[in-house]
Amino acid sequence: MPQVMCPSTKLIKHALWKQYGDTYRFFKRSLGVFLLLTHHLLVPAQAAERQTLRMGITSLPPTYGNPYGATGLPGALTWQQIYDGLTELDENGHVRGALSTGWELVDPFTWRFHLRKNVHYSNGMPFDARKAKAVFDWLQSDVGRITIVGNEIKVIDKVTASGEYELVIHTRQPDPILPNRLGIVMMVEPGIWRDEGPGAYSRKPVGTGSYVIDTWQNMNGAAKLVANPYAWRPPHIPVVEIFPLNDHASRFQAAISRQLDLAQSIRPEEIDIFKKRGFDVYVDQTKQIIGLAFDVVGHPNSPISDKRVRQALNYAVDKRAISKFITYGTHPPASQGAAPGVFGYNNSLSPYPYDPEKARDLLVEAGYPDGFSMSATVVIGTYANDVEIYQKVQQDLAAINVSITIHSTIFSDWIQQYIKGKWQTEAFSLAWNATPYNDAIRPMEYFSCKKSRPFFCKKSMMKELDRAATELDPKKREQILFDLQRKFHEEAPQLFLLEYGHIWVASQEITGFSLRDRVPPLNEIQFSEKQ
Amino acid sequence: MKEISQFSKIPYWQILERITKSLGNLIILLFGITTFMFFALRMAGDPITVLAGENASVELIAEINKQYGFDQPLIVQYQFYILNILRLDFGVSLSTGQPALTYVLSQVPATLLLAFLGMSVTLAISVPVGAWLGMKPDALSRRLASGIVFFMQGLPGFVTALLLIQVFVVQLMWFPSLGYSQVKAWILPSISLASFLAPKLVRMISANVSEAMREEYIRTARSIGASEWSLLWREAVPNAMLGAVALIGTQFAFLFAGAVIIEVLFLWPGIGLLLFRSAQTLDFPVLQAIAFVIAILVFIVNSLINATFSFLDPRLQRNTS
Amino acid sequence: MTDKNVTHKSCYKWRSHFGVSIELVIGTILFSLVIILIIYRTKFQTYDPYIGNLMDRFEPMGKNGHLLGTDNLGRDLWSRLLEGMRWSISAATMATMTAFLTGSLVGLIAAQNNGWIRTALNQVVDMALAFPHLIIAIIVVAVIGRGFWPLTLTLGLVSWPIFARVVYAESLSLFERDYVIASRTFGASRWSILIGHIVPGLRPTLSVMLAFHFADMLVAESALSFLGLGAPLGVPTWGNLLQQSRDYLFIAPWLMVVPAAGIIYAVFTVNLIGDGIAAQARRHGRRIDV
Repeated sequence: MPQVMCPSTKLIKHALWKQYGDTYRFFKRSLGVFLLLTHHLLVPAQAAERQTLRMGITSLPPTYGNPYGATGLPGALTWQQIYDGLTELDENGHVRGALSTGWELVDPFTWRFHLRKNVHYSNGMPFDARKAKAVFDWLQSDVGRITIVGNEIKVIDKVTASGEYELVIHTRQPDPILPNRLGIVMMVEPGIWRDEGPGAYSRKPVGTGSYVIDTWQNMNGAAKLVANPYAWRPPHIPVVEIFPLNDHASRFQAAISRQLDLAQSIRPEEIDIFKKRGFDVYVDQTKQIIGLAFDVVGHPNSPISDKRVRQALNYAVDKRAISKFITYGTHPPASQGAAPGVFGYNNSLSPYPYDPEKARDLLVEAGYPDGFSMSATVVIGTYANDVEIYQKVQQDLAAINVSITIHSTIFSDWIQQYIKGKWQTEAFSLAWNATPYNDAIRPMEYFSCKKSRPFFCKKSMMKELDRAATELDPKKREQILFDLQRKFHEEAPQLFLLEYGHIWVASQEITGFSLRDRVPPLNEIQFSEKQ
Repeated sequence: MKEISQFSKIPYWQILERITKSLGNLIILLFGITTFMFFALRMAGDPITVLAGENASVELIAEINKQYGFDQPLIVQYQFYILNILRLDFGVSLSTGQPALTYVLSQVPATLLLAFLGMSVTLAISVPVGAWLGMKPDALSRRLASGIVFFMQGLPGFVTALLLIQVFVVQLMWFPSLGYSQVKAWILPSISLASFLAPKLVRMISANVSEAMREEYIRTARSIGASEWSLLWREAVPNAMLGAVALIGTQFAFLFAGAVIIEVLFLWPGIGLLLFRSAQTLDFPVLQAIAFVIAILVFIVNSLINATFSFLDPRLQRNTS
Repeated sequence: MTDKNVTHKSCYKWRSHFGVSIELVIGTILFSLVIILIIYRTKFQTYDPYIGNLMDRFEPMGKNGHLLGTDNLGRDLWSRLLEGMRWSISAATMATMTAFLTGSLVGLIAAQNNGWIRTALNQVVDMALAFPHLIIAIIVVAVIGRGFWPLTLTLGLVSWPIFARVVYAESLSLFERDYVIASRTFGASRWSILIGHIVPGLRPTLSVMLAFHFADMLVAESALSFLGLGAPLGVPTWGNLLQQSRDYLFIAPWLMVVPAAGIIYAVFTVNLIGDGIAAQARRHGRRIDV
């Protein structure tokens, strides 16, 4: 710290020149050296011929190229570029053929799939029914059965190849959503999979998708994908770099500074900024219903085990205000455990209106006139604005004398409690997630006794749930699902909040962007003509 | 007593003794670290549930337990663990399935590059500025500059990084902020690191330089007519650097531990970023391997620096024992 | 020892008058501002730091009675700053105290005893010094969770070896001093030597170290909170405020500037204090290198 100096007026002029002359010479020399070394860095680089599509997402698949370790995001963002399943969902959420061209129901327990011809893996080997059967066989083996995907298709009893391109699947019980399920079964090359093992395979995956993994981490910190020479759906853009930018601020910075062509999941308040800078903004129409689920089974003596209390909490929170002021209208309030577009969405239901009076009345009726306190375990960062949303929930509940403490935790801790069914708090963050099947039954099953170690179990709904799981006639099934949605709406096993869909931005240098089951098919994207 | 060279008066068996002693220290250190990590991480949580996913059944969990060996008693696990460490087998990463040690080692080059860049820029700034400040410590310009340096010492490194990103990447779009594939991408991370490391080093060097410039022999040389400039750069600065060795070593060690925040902010794929990601998923094997690798890297760096400077410093050589 | 011919006419009036360096005075005054703000924060806070008005999100500085603007939830930044300051400063204080007490104890014991205790303790200190800091933080958070005491524990665990090493080296050299040897030959007990000679001898170094260490702990708390390993989410510490501001740098840059300025200010004043103590010790002939 410079010491206090009493200026000596006699010498000041001379001293100043002495000092500054010195400094001047010093910096003159250093500046020369500095410029010499760095001038080439200050010259802007030439705009190179665009060959690489750059996408920024939350993360690469945690199991890398092993597509059976998880379902949904974030893994699907990469897996759907390098693999295909027998089926896939289109932009409207309807199931259509991918590696299969069609299917029919032979009898309630048997499906016949017609496979696409002339499909090859990225190493040139052909894809046929034999290979498909081998994949299913592995997923039913001891090792495969315990993977997440293997668990999802445990309804499959046996798979036979009845011809080079004909596959017959037998199920243990009638399964109306089997085609949807098959969308998550990525077709690996079974021979190599068996020989090398999932670990080695996951580093160098072989698939039928439009792209192949060149490296999982290049010098940019991104995964690099190149076009699959044998792809049955060849891509327009030959090289893709996928940047795993987990925290939102980095993703925003990378996107807004034009280091990315596509970015996943930005915040509603940034929409205007992106539009001003010449980006297109898309809101994913495949939505989840976010909210706080109640651990009724684990806390039988808590106020939340009473239906009226749960309804009261739903009345007490002003979801419209949350939607309008926090998400700027991007995410509408949720009315039920499904979003529009999901099979089984009942559009005659509306969200719980904001009615604190009614909430208080319900609480009095349930025997809690002075309110009560509770806590919730949440994971922060999964959804944009979740902090704000939970804060608002806290405020609104406080207004009816329900004091809720929000404990934020990391995902691994959350999932531990979820799987064991042992929640330390009365509520926890959980979304109704209809993907990857886009069918309302899926989230209903884990909001019911069907979940192992359930948190909400109403025996009276189980029969209807079972019927919905096995009813093969779509119209009848839809009615059952409508009815179930209404029942869930009344039972309120969750504090329903918003219909949440990720917000994507795309620079105007690319065209052909769309979202299919929350994933953009990169093979359809090309660079626009005007640069 | 054989002499190694004209520069070193240390007999060679003493050098060997010192090396053996430090290696011994290293081994004890590694043992301590890995044991601590083993027990501590087992207390910390249940990573099998991360693997098991949302709807896993009891059987699923039991299977995973068996596959990864989590159901054995702790002591048995520990025995196997130590044996494996001796074979350099840290297990496989719980998330990627890749052998933990190779995974960590593959990230080391990027961190080395960042450490090298950061240190170069730091030294390139600190040495001239420190010398300049120490030359005439009471001049007004020096005092002002010292004040600025002092102020900058208080800036947390990641604050500078955030500001730099905001101004140069987001607003002006002059530099990229992702990875290290272009030289342009090297600039901001190095400057962020330097802004955080340099102030302390500058102050130390300038203090040493100003003290050295007051020494008897300098004053004598000055009275004989040696130029200020050559005195500064030939005598004072080298002496100052010797005194700053400890600090440089510490800073280097910090850089080798992976300047985590910088790597996270700039998506620089090094050890720091890996550490951050493994922390979020509680990937035990990788965390253990990282602790191991960092300890070794820091040890290597410290030994190299100490060895180099003890070679060069006649004073330190006299104190060998 | 002071070289009068290198320093030309400078104003030492203050120093020679009060015997106290000016940095120390300025630093203490500025820092006490922080302390006053913390103690009387309820008087200074204009709004509730935890509840915000969602209609007033992202108000810029000065509008609507919000001295420093509001954040993404409409909470007043000035009030939050005051609220979090208390947390940050007390966490840093506790961390420094823990590290200081543990480290000094270990250092003193090691300096005192010859033989295996000394070698063993030195080994432990070396091992603790070489342990990567962030891993300790990760483990503590994974085992105990985030909170005040886990953070104190982490910061203490990470920095106690620094104190141990310095205290060890200084005590060793102090033990070799003539007057200590003389006391011993005169039969003074260990305790009296410790308290009468060693501890006072350590005081200048330790005071400077405490000051700089405190500043380091403030920065460390903000860095750890930034990574999600420090203060729990609800508390508006500087680190958490910085972390939360990142998402809104474009929309509301004041959300970052204010906590950054807060940290810089606090660290600057504490560094001033540390420097002042060092300058004073220098005046008495002891050069302190930290």
